[in-house]
Amino acid sequence: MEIDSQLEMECDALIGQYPQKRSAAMMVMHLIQERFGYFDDTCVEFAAKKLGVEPIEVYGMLSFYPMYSDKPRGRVHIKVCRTLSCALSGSVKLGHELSKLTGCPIGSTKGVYTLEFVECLGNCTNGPNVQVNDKLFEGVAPEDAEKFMEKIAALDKSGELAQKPASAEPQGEGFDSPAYKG
Amino acid sequence: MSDKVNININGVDYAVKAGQNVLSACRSVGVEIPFFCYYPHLKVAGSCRMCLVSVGTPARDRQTGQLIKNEDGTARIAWMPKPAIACGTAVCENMHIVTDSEAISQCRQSILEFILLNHPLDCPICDKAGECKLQEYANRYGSGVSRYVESKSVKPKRREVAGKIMLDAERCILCSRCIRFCEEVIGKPVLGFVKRGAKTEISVYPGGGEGLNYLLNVVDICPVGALTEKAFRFKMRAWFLRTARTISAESSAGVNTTTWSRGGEIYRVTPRANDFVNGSWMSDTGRYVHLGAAAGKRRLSGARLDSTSCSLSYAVDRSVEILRLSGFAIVASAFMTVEEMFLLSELAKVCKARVYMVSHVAEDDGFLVSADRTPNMRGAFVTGLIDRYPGKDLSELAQLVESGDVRTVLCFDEDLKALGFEARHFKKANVIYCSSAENATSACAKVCVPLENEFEKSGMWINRQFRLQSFEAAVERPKGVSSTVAFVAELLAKIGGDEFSEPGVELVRRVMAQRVPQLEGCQNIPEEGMPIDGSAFSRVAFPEGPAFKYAPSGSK
Amino acid sequence: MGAKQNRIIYRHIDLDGWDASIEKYMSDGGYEVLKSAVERIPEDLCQEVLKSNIRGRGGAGFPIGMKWKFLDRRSGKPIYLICNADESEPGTCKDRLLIYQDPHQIIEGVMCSAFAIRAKQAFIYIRGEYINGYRVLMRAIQQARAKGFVGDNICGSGYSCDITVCRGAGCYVCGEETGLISSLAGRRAYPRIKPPYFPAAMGLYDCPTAVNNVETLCWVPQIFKLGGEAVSKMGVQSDPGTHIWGVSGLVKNPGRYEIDSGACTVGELLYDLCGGPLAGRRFKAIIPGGSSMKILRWDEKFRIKGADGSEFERRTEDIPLDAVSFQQCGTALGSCGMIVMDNTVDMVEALANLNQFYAHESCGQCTPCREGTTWMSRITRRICEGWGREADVDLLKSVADNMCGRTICALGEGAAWPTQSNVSKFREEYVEKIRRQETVGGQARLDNNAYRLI
Repeated sequence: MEIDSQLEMECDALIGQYPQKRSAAMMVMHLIQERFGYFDDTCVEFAAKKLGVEPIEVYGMLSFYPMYSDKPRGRVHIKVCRTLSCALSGSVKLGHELSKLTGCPIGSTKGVYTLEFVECLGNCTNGPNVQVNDKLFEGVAPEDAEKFMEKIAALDKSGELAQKPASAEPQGEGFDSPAYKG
Repeated sequence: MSDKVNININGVDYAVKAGQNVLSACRSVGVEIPFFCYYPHLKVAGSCRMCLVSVGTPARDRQTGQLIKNEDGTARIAWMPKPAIACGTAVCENMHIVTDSEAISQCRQSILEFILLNHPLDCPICDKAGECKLQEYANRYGSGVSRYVESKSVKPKRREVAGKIMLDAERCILCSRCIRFCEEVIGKPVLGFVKRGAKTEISVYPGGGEGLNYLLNVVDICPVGALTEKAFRFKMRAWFLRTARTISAESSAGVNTTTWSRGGEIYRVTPRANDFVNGSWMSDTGRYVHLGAAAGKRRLSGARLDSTSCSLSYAVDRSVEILRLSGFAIVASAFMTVEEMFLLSELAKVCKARVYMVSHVAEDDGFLVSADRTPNMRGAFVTGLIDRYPGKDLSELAQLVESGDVRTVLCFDEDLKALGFEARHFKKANVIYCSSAENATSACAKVCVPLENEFEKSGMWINRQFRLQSFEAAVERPKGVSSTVAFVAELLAKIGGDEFSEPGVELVRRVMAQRVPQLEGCQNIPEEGMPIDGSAFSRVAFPEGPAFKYAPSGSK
Repeated sequence: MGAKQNRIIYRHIDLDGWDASIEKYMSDGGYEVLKSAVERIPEDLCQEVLKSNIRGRGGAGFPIGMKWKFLDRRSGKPIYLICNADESEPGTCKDRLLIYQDPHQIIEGVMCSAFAIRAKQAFIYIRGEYINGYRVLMRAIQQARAKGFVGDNICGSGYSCDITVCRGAGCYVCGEETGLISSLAGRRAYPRIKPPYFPAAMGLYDCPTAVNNVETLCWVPQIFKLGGEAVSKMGVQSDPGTHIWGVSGLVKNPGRYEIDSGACTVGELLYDLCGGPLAGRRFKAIIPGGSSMKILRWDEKFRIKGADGSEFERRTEDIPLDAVSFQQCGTALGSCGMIVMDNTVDMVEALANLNQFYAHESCGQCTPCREGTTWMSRITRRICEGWGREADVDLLKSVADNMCGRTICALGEGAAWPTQSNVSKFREEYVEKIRRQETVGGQARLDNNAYRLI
């Protein structure tokens, strides 16, 4: 992976916000994750150097927090919430439906898709919740799985689904306006 | 403020040192509390939860702050609703501690059950067996049966760390001792936790730990067989080994060690805790000093006269004869014990011999390998052998030999040939070489006297802190090899007619204690050693830099 | 008395024409409280907060005034304020809307609190999944900084404090304050042992630190505006203020409802506001405050001792919505995320679902939680997959008991409570399920299972 000066600058800006370098670890790692999609050795060593820690410590965090990954993921990363509230509204079934539709076994990557069950997405009253890249889709009933996947495919095609960096402008007027209501 | 606090353990009152944790307070009065993650010289992690005990403190009235009394006048104890970790709880006045209740033993049993769920139980092929905390506690506090019917987790096994440690993540109980050691003592995290929850494992980043000289300490502090020393792996069962309390000869740091041997063969050397000297640590290189003694150097196994084997007594007699001649110089070694040096110093006085030594100085690592790579240079000062720090070679002595002023050299351990002596010097002077090892000097010395090496003798050394420490012989000396004390005492008796006709370490110590003021009381050295007065030598230019528990005199 | 919402913290949520801009917020009196607060003496402000007796809204329900009082001010070390926006308790989603729709209320709350405790720097630790929320928050902070409400010399008072926003990355344990502190210090989110790491004395960078939930901090401007005394009289005395109930699961109208504490009962909330159970179904059980709290059977009855010493019986649906009433019934309102289950729900599966969550989210630091959560998860999953054994019911209970009270942080207990309560309150369902499995053997065991929740 190529580390460019732009990335270095962005890291330095983040690190500057904290009384201790190391505190910026979460944000710096998000930055790297967004930029490259996953961490390879170069990324781990780069982050370690920036944060003034040992690579094993970066790797320890990387493997601790599920949002970071040491393996590449698909362009469309579908996370289906499986925790109780969503499960009660059918998310487990939804997950299996989506697996059939994408041809992607749960917890794996196939083609442009990565499909996995995740724990609580924090929108329990409006389940089942599905997060695709940085967008949340709420109320995706299992019966609508097919319609949902069509929508996702269309959004992917138009480029609207592409993961935007955290530093991007908020979408819409700042409301949590899910792109799709099931 | 008093430095003692009164506490009550299992209904019995004790006065213990203030400021310590419940775990060490209980240990200090003989009440055992099991633990895994706690380690005296590391920060408290409190994660294994094995040391849970019930703790209560005197109840106070919330409004007035007054102590509440029971009807019988005793202080009422407010027990904490949950058990507390003994390692992370400090003792306080009138604290009540219960370690032997049904509830606590149930606690321990359940924690052990949890730890054993995913433990492979491969004790028959585990090097740690016999000295494994988990094995020991499972025996003593465990329930003996498992209620776990699921399959055990699978983690990496046989992973090599820095070429000298084998890591078995399945055996690991995640106590974090090794992680804390690397972070707090080495200052460079080598090992670390990866993954999360029950999948958590100890891991190392590729290439991590290369070139670090203190990594093997993690093997000693690992409470289970997750980290084992590659050199000792599958070599010997711990329970077959006999231990001896030794001091590392690697440097003047005087690291306290335990030497493990069987049938005269040394299998490993491990650090022995001494709060005043080395904490619980030692260098990796220090662990293999015995290999140097055994393999690197060829043993001087028998006495020789003019390169011809002879009996030990004959060699000694010949030595005495030679020493009676005039122009006598001694080359002492800083590997000799204080007792040996004392006798040698007496001999030098009787014969009016000059005494030479050689410095062995290398880089100081600022921790436990000091610049002076000999264990007892300060002993030479204290016993009066020398009064200034010796040079790197013996060119001065070589010149005296050249000029004919010195005609006899009694040399201990040092290799004259490497220190300025040429072949012609050996022709001009009689060299009596006394050591455990062959070298270039032994090959051309007039007399060779085989002596024991540092693992075969007992005695005392004085480390860089001017701390007098005694050590035991780890293995017996081979047949045909003389004890150094006996050898020097015999010389002394035959030449000087001194009182050491029945030489023994005890006798030497008694006389030494009388004659050398700094060594008063040296017959009874406590386990942690005895600091002696080094102020007389404050002008000596010792080479050691500031290090662990050591500040050179004159510096802060 | 019917159920009625009283929107104080949620006053702007889902309002027509509302957006997250600073102009909108200021048009509704926003930042006025901060402007007047910085004129006052911080100690007095803390005193007001103490008087209000408002409990933390994050789950533990510890009075915020007390939390601030414990801050070690004598050490001379800087004090830090952390806003815990890592809402990750299953069933809880109240803070989400505040972040997305009313970020300035949070910022005002953070700045008011920071001023009151004289914090050197404030942090907002937001869930990694709330990525758009992070963007909203960042823009709001920028706007507030431009207007002088955040950063140097706030409102001309001479007091300076900046807000740094840090994103989490999918970790439940970061909701625990010391776990959050570890994460914010750039480490694995391991909760720290107390003593010595009480955040009030040894928090972030071992400095005194106040960690407060988003909703809690939103209460601070309310307290400054109305006075501690007035706030302490809202709702019931023991637990003043309002609660934002996030009702999820099997009800007609799940959603977030802000209600005065004690103003209505569980039944009123679920029937009047949430429209009752789905057509043709009956309520079976509720988990009152986030998944960790102990479950309540809908047909359960509790013996309650009144203040006057008299005893009376209370049904689940009659429990008033305040902290003490739930405590009297052996559970807690936690973070007010109520999960509702009806008669179609297999309780074993519900527990298996939660146990899988805890096994995934246990940080793995201390033995009982690390091993216990995974063990319980594997037992419940095995039962659901058709391989239950009669001994498993007692085993589950025993494993949970062995975890309780022996872990480093409260989440270890929170992971054991669902199993403890579920197994003891629905024991007959477990026994029945396992017995059925044993009689139907082979393939039928698997076919028998609907796999609805796991």
